Amino acid sequence: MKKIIWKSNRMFKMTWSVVVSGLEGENFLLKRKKGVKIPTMKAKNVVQWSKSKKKK
Amino acid sequence: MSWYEKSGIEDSEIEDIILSYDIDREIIVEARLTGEVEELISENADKFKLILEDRKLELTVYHIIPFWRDGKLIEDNCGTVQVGDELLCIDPEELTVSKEKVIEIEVGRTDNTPVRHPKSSNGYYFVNGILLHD
Repeated sequence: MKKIIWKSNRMFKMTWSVVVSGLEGENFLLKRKKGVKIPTMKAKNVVQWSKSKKKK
Repeated sequence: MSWYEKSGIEDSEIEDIILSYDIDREIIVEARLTGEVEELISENADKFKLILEDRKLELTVYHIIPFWRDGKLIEDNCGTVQVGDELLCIDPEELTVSKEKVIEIEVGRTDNTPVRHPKSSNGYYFVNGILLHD
């Protein structure tokens, strides 16, 4: 992980997005578990990422 | 059984597949983390803790967040969010979303606070189950 000393009010760019890691618990993303297949009934609710989606 | 797991932002890596949302099509999608999660130290910036019924999220003022006011979608920095506005929240087990009202906002300032910002392939992701803009 890259670490930067940042004085936000002077250096902040509006295009940046930031999430404060607060003291009261964790901030988490929801990551797909590896090797787990989503059941069909649930899978219809989500457009799953595929390797054919190339980064532009 | 859960097909998605909580992953601390600081533990996330490029290429991780995460839950996201397509605002235009109004569907849950998977996205890919495209950039390194940088850790920054924020000093003396406005911060806002958005408190919902069963979840909360603390952001610095410049973070862009989609929210609904009087049924209208707005995307603006989190400092413009008001009590009563609705945020999009996800149930990762059922893979459904719902709009939940902000019931309280706590305002503060950062004080050498670690700040992290992931970037995803479609520009959105859920943090603590709440949809944010990249």
